[in-house]
Amino acid sequence: MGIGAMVLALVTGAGATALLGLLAKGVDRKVTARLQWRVGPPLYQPALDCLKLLGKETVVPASAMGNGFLIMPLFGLAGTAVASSMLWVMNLRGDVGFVGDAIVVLYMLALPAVATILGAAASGNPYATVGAGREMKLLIGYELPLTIALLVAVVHTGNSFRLGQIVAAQGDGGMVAGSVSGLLALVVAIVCMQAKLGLVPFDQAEAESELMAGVYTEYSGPPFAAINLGRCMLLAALPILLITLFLGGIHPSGLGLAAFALKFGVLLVIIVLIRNTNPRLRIDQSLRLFWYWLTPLALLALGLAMAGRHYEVTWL
Amino acid sequence: MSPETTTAVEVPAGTDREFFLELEERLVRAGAVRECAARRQAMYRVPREGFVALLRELIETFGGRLATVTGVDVRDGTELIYHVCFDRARFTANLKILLPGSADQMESITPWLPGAEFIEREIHDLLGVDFPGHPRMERLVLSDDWPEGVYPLRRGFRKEDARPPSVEET
Amino acid sequence: MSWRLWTLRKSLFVYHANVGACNNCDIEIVELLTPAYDVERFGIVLVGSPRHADALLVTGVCTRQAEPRLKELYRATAKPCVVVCVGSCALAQGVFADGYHVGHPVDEVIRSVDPEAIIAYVPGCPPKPEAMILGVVKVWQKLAELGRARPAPAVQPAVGVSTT
Repeated sequence: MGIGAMVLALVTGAGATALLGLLAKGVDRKVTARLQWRVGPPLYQPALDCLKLLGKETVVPASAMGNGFLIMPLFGLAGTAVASSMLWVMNLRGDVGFVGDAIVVLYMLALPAVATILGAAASGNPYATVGAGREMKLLIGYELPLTIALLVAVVHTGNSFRLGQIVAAQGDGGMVAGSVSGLLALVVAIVCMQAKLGLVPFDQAEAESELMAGVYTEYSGPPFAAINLGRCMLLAALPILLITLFLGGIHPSGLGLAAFALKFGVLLVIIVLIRNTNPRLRIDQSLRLFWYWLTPLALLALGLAMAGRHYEVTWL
Repeated sequence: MSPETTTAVEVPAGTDREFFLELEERLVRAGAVRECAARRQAMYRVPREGFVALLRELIETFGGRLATVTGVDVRDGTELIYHVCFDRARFTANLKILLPGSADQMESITPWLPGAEFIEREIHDLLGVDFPGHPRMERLVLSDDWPEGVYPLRRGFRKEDARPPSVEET
Repeated sequence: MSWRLWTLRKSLFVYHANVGACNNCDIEIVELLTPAYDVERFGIVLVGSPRHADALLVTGVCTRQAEPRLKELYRATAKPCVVVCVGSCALAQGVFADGYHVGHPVDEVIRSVDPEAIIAYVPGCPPKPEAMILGVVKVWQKLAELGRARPAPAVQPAVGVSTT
């Protein structure tokens, strides 16, 4: 791809993810309200929140390391933007790409968490420091099962680390989630996605009413708008990642887009339901969940996938 | 109300009889005088000498629980009432001590009963009773810039002695 | 109407500060979020940090201890930020007006930091949630009347804002 095409892909991909993410966040708040017998805000409310935050002043505390504090939200936003545009491109035009781009996407999606940690540490606030410590532990927790789940998808679709080939193989052979190991990996990936999004039961980093606003305590104005936008984009990018890996990807046709909308909606509903029916876990409980329960489950799925591949049993 | 010495020992209603008799005997041996009694509680006037040892025995041997300590400024000085609850026997003993105005200090019980730390700080803030032996006598309910020697719950308290600084200075 | 003002009307982040209240007003404020009144449909959200706040809901007489802290809180908010005094205690200290433990009234304390602060008063003990919503509406009307969202005032953050 030429440079111009890449820039265009980045801008449109990130823009589409941002719009989709703001809508998804609005759906999340609306459904949460309905579950609580309330009316809830309109679907475009997150967009208004971001707009309003752009009009406030930026306060940099005296104890903060100003440059790091202000750059980190953009850092996280950049990671999410690159990852999401890569996902769109690999889905809609499977032939461009390079070996290992699945790993690059996963790597890019880890940037928002790292940026959160660094920004919180740079803000010099004790609540933010505690939140950053928790986010670090959470990061170590969920990255492992998520990577193993990615490996399951890779094994299933012919040992290729190219997202385009993963999608194409699912088009020929059926969704990865249609097999036993794929389904297990999808379940693991959904729980890890919940942690990556920083939603209950894994919102220990933000921990409102426990840690003021946790990692985001000192942010205000446009940097906070960037953080919010980044989180909304993640709410769109992660389901798209899961759809790409496990649910067949996005097919650029009318029927394909309708199928994508259905899959996206189902994943969003699962996220919202988990969010509304669970209490917040303690950080040691979530680490135990990720390392003692989800990692063995993901390893089991990987074993089943490799066995199925070796012995040519397609449903394993 | 003049204190009356009990002639016949009447167990307060609702209290475990044997326990109460044992407790009353111990208190009378320490010089306590029962002033009045009601359902499940009684008020005793206790002399200052040996009070802390008596309290310690009540809490450790008799199984009492110090609920709180209250105080009031009376004509002769400051009266402190230690409310000790004996939950299993369903009885509360209210032990009243008079600290004469010239010597209002009371040995601190915080070293062996950590829960009394805040109680004694509050009494010190509001009534001016000293508790020598208290590990951390700081302001608790009053603001940190409250002047020394001004005690709001004392009879002679005047608000002019403790004016807040002007709004610009805080 | 400038776009800043328009977005403030649509999305208001609220930080609740109790500077010496009996908690009655606090309960009524939280009741605003319950299904009976549901202010989230207006875009009003309770946030955990004063830096995220557009409105500071202050309850309680300002006790002497709380006075410097309330000033720091107001300085910590990102402008434009309005102050809503909720309840009789926050208005003029109610029955505690001459008490030995009270400092200055909330609006005097805020105005000593920022003489041009926009302060709304919601009377009641405690005010009904409808009265609080009416207070927010009046703030919006006042902002529209002033014709502009308030820019950042020339208030220097205090040296003590760093946390050690």
